[in-house]
Amino acid sequence: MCRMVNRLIEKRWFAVVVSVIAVILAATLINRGGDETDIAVRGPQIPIPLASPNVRFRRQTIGASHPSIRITNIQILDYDDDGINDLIVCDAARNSVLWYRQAPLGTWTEEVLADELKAPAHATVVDIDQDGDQDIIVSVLGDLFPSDKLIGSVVLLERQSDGSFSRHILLDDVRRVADVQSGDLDGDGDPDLVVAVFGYARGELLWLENRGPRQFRDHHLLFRPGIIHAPVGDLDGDGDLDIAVIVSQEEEELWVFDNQGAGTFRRQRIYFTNNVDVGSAGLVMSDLDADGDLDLLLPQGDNLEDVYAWPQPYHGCLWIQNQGDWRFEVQRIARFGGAYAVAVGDIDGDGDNDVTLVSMANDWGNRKQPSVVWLENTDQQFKIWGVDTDPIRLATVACGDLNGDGRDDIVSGSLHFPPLGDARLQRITVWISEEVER
Amino acid sequence: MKRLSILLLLLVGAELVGLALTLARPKTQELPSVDLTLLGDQMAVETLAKMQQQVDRRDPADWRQLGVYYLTYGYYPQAEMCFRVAWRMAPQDESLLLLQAISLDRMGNKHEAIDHYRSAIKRNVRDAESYRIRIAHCLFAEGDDEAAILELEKMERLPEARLLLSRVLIRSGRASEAQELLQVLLREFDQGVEPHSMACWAAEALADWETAYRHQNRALRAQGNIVHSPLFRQEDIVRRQRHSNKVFHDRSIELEGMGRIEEARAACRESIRVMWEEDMVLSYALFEIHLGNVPSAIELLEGAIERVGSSPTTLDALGDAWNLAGDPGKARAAWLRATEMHAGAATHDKLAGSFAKTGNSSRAQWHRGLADYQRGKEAWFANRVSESSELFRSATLQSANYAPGWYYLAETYRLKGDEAAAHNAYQRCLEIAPNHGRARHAMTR
Repeated sequence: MCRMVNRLIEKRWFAVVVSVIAVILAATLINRGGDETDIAVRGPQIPIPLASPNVRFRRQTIGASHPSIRITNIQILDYDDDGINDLIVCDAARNSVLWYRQAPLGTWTEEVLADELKAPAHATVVDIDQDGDQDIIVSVLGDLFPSDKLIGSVVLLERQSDGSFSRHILLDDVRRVADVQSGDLDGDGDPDLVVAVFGYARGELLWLENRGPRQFRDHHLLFRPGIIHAPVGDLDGDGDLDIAVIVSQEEEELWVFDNQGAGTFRRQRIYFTNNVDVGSAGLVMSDLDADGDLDLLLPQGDNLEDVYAWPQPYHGCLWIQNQGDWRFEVQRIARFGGAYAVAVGDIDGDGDNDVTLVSMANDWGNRKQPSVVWLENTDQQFKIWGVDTDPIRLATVACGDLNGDGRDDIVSGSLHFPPLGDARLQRITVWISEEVER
Repeated sequence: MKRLSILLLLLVGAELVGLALTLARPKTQELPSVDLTLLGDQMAVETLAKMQQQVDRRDPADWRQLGVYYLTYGYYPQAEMCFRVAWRMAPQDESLLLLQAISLDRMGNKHEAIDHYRSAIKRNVRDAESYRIRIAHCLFAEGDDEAAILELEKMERLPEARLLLSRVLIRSGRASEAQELLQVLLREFDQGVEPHSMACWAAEALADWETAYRHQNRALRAQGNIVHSPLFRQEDIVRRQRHSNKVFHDRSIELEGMGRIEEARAACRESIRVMWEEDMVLSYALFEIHLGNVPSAIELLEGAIERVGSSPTTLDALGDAWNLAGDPGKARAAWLRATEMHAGAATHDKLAGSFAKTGNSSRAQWHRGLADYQRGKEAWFANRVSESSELFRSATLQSANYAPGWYYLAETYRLKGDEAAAHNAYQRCLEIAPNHGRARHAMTR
């Protein structure tokens, strides 16, 4: 028997046969092992490149930590007129409007401008009494969480000569107020106000006619739930101020109000979707294509009707391009899950307007999922680039030059509520935009 | 050659042994990985971790169960994978089709979700019919409005479908047809916010401003909703509550009802340990007050204010605590802060009582009036017009300089058809607040 085996082993063909058997067995084993993992978790739908070749970002945090993180709004502006940009922040965990003063560049100091404002959603800086200083109009939700109660208000923080503020309620007995914008709407030379009453199942759009010191008369413009933002600007180039309004809460409509003079408006719905899950999340007015008229940017991705929200393929950003004569062309410029806020700025310093988006609800278990992205504008073609993957659950974003290098930077804030985990959150984060050296 | 052949034979032997072992071992599917740090509720984390450890990977029921919990806590791709594994093991369990559909829907894979919903409905899976509306939503999300409308038309008997259809019709220049649909809805759901809102918008589209105003007004005094969360979301909520700090909170309420206050407090404390929530801290502080541990209650409430800001409810409780601590001044200060944040009638009642004790009868009367005003508004928004009218009348008698009280009183008169009384009340409102836009508007109608 052994002799026979020895003889076989010495044959060349035997080695070939054994080799073939070995290969077949190995393939069977490998295949068999593969059975164990043949059902896999589906991967992310739209991978976003994490870094652009031309721009890099340096992340820094601003302000002290706090046990609860609920930043509802951040704006970049030079509040003290010292030539350096500051931040105005609404913090719903501290019920406060905060000023992060930057002086000198890179050194930040917090000053509480007002507290005891239940869930402030937005702070509008305007010289409302035209006395030469900057007053602040606060949009007060009254409750961060869904409520149809009449708990909203519009509060004026009137700046005094000594720098302090006196507080006045300009509008009360309304549902949750999400936004207030200012502008001379009736052409009488003083700033009036537009008020977006979000409410919950019921909301409305009002304009408040300025009738002298701290006297505002409310006028009803639209009855719709979930009005988030109401930016003001001259949309038709006729020299007066018009209003644009985004309606959410399943209605998902975009309205414009053409100023007809003397406080009258002609309204027009310029966009809607029957996809009630789309989650309109805000509205920004900007001349994105620099053609001399104002366009609109609409982030879509607020699906917090369920606490464990998930990114959807229709989330992202729409550009509502002004074609003149009250005609608008709607085009999608980004797909980005959970898009919650948008801002416009020249991120790469090439002289045109880029776009920044942040995400509130996303596939945060995937550590490669960006929470902040920017859209590089190349002749109105927008390419999406990730800025960062942390922090997460971002609700607000602003663009502006924060380090004095002439390039626009990005700032954002997280918004947290139970029962979501509070890992990877940050109150205020800045991303300084820098050119990649080659 | 000999050495090579021996090596090859050994290799074949080893591979045969390996193959035998592999064949002898049952096939097992790897568990999907999940990031549990995304959850804030420690009890949910523990539940999921335990479930992952205990799952029998050969048992489709275990995969299904794990999938259901992943679905509950927002791990949709992982849930979908679990249901796929379970479906492969137990293709006779047709409910897995529906669960896959729900997962795919949540993940945004609408096309596949529609296919799965349809398969589930075809096989008469329990409750599957109630998911038809999700097919329409998925079609809208896919941008296929025509198909979505067809789907909704098949479900016209469902109030939610009729409502969705009405919206589509109003926007597509068919407001009259929408009005017909809404007439039926309004007969069935006169208390609903949505049918009145939608009827307002349909009338607006037809430039029937009087009808629009009437429905808008009625929508403001409505409370019910037609559109409810889908069944799976409702089930998710129940499941979450079963594995969250809510268990302890519910237990504490139960114990409180049985008069076992100390045990109720302990359950409440446990709830906060699992997950910090303002409402739970408030309950805990109220137990402390009940048990006479007032300093502890004050510390808890001030801690909550430090953490998430003040609210009418925490300030109201803080006022109670200071009052029990023998400091009515601090109590009033807290209650007054609460009223600045739109606290309800109870806080005004407390302020009225407190001011009465100090002999400040005018302020006591003012707050009594505001308490009636708050009760009046509750009745008004629940469409209890006569009751609200009485309360607003009482409010205006006691807080005569409070303009909103006169405005709402006027509104109740208007609805009752007493135009003269309404006019007078609007007039009183405007005398106090000349810029009250709604009163001015009502006067000019």
